[in-house]
Amino acid sequence: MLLLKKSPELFVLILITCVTYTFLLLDPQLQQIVNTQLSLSFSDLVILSFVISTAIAIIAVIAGVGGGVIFTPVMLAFTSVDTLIVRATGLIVAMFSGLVSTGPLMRQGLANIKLVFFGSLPIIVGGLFGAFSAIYFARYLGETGDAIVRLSLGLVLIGIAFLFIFSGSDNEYPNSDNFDQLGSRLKLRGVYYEESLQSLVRYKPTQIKLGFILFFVVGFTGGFFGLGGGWAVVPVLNLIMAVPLKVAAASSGVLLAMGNAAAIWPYINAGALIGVVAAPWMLGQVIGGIIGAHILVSIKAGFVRNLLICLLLLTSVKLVVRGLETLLQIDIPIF
Amino acid sequence: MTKKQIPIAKSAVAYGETVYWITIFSAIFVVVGTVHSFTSTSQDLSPSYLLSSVLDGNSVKLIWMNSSLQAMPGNHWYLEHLNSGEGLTTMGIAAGVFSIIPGTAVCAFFFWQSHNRLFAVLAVFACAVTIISMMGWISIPI
Repeated sequence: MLLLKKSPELFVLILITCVTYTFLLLDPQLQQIVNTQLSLSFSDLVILSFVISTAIAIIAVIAGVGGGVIFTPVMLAFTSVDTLIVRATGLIVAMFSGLVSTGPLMRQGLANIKLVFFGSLPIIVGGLFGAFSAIYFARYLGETGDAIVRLSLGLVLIGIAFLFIFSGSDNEYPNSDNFDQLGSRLKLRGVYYEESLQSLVRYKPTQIKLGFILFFVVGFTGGFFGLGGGWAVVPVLNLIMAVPLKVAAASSGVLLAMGNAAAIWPYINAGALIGVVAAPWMLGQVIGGIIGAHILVSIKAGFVRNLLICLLLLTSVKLVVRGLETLLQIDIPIF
Repeated sequence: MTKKQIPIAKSAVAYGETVYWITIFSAIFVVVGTVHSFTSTSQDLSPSYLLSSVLDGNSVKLIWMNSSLQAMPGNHWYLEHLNSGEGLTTMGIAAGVFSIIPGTAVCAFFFWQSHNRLFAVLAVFACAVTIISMMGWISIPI
């Protein structure tokens, strides 16, 4: 209730969305079955998409990953929807929670605007290189090359997840005593109020050049696989550049929204974004994104860390399984 | 220093507020488009046809060729179909995506004003790439 008082616009949005979807449920014309496999009607599908999207957005904003990391693999694995439509809707899911959480996170000082723009250049350029390389790579190495890189990426993600596990809670508020000349010149340092500790947290990002290179690698692999960069921006900011975990998660969400904005226009212009399919996902991301941003401000950093570990392991297992399936021509019935 | 005294850069607030409010209004637009889709008696881009085709696994090309348009849509096709719920809904989503362009432009201005020239250039770069993509100069093979 406090959240609705703080954000009257959220109240208005939830109200008009609920009224619309209640109308959908009550209209007998919309009860016709459109998915015979699951016996779902038109209105069931729209409302189910909205509810799942809201849940994904809350998790995605808290962990600083784009929701596409959850949405795209699940849709590709369990539905027969055209891959272009899945990728276009996946980008909507990946970016709208980040877009709408930008306001509250910037107001609270939790997202660092300089880190966002510092990361945007290598991620956007890397993403474009990755997308075009994927086309050439597929031509010359085919599915085997794709499987090798997918498998390697999965193993790297497992490594990052274990790094988070074994580094304990040290990386929630990393000690940044190391002086970094470039970081100092760029004035990337920051301060934010940690509500769970009731105190201010100051930070000075380090290893700026290495971070820049890794952002390029993140952008490249994200563009190459169409995964987005959600899986790795937080680890680079937190584990390499010594940015506190909550600032890393907040800045990552804002950065991903910016990067995905350039990526989605070709899909919109090509007609791959079907409004009636994407609308409930977009609305869920907007409402869930605002709720997630307010939760992120007040929760403990340890919770963010545990959530991130789960998502990293989930994504990496999926990548390893798909890589092994293609390389060994076998079917691994995990998910 | 207390919570209220934390210095937050104007560029950050300007970027955040611009993107936030445009996204909120775009979401309202999407709700209006959804209502229009369901209440309209016009069969132009019918939502039940589109949803069924998508769930059947039809390709993007097939979906559009069999729709009332009977052709692949061009750049910003929704602007010519604002009388349909599908056009309005897609327009709403596109407006939300568009929010990055004024957001980065306003941010670049405040960065420049506060003598953060490098970050102003980075913001202009992000803005320019998004504009190039929006104009359709970067395309994907369908």
